[in-house]
Amino acid sequence: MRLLYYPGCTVKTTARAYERAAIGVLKEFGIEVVELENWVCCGVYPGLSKDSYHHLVAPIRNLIYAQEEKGKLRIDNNYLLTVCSMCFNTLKSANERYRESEEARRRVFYFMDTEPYYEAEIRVIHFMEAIRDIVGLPNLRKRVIFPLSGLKVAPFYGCYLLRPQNIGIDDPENPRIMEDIIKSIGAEAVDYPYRNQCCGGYLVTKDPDAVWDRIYRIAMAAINRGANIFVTTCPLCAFNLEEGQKRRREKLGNVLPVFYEPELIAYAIGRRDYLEDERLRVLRNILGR
Amino acid sequence: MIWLREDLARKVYDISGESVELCILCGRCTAVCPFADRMDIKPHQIVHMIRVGDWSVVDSEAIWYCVSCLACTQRCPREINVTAVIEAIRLINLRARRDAIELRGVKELGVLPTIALVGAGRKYTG
Repeated sequence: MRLLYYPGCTVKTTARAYERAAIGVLKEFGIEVVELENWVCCGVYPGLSKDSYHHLVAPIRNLIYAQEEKGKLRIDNNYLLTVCSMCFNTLKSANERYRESEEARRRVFYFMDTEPYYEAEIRVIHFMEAIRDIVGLPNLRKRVIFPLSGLKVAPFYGCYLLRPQNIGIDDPENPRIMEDIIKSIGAEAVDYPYRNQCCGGYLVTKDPDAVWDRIYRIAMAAINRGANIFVTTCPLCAFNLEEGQKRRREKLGNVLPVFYEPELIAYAIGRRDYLEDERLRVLRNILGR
Repeated sequence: MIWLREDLARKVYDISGESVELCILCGRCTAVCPFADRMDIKPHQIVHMIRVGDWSVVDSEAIWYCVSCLACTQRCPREINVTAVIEAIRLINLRARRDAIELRGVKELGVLPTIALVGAGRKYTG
């Protein structure tokens, strides 16, 4: 099976480890990830205003690229894979608004009248959905050869994998998808109160101290519940968690490393080569093997 | 700043499609807001000020502490998209060239990933 893939800016820069592990893991389950030949920045946040349409232009342009490549490569499914939670939400939200609103379609194409018409058939999915709904957790469990026993994982969902409810991939109040995967690879999922709350997001540009204080509170809760590692699917959450713990190291006393979900999967299924060397070293250090 | 003294609730509705009249002031948005403790005016108060036409809310610092996490929107028993309401107040500023940050002046510019900067450009600048 081939999946068209929209990467986004951050997995090509600071979150390269995420992309490498995600593509590698899917390959192990017979899914060939095909990166779009053309793509532009999605805009990071879905537009919340109803009186403007310009936020739709970049995401819809990406969906047009996906529609074109699907035809050109004769791909027989409508999926567009994302790994970044923000890209996922921004593309999917734009897709839904475009699908539901005649006015949105008219305005977007008034602006992009040289592009082919977007038929709104592309279905944006997140890496976690690909694991849960395409690969399937029983198949994942079957492939585990190095169970991550002893690893106490604090899942950090953040916002945009879950909210708004019609876009998110799991119950926003009590999500299970990260825990289910963590358990499937033999690790323990630590329950703590901040797992589906905000890391501080873009506030880090305006008032970094407010964000570091927020991260302190999140990390302290995870540490107090016995976690020895954070796992997330959002490069912005990952940055804030990592940097915030560094800035509050003294107060915290302990700093939890931050990993992306597919990195742990890669280790468990015996493909450590999908992890970057330094990150593999950190993981082995926690596992004590 | 001179504002056209039009109905603020109406303006918010035009931008966001959200009716603040639905609010029952239960305060749940404030209870779940991760940055309410940093806000000079709390989320439910922002909604109330819009409803009574108090334009000083547009000048509040609180609106820039909303991180668009959608927790309030998820929990609102009246199904108001509070996040979109606060975004509307931000947009009243941004559309009038009143940016909340200057990207060049961002403190942690050297270490921030692109996702934070594009997000900030989106939320803090016109």
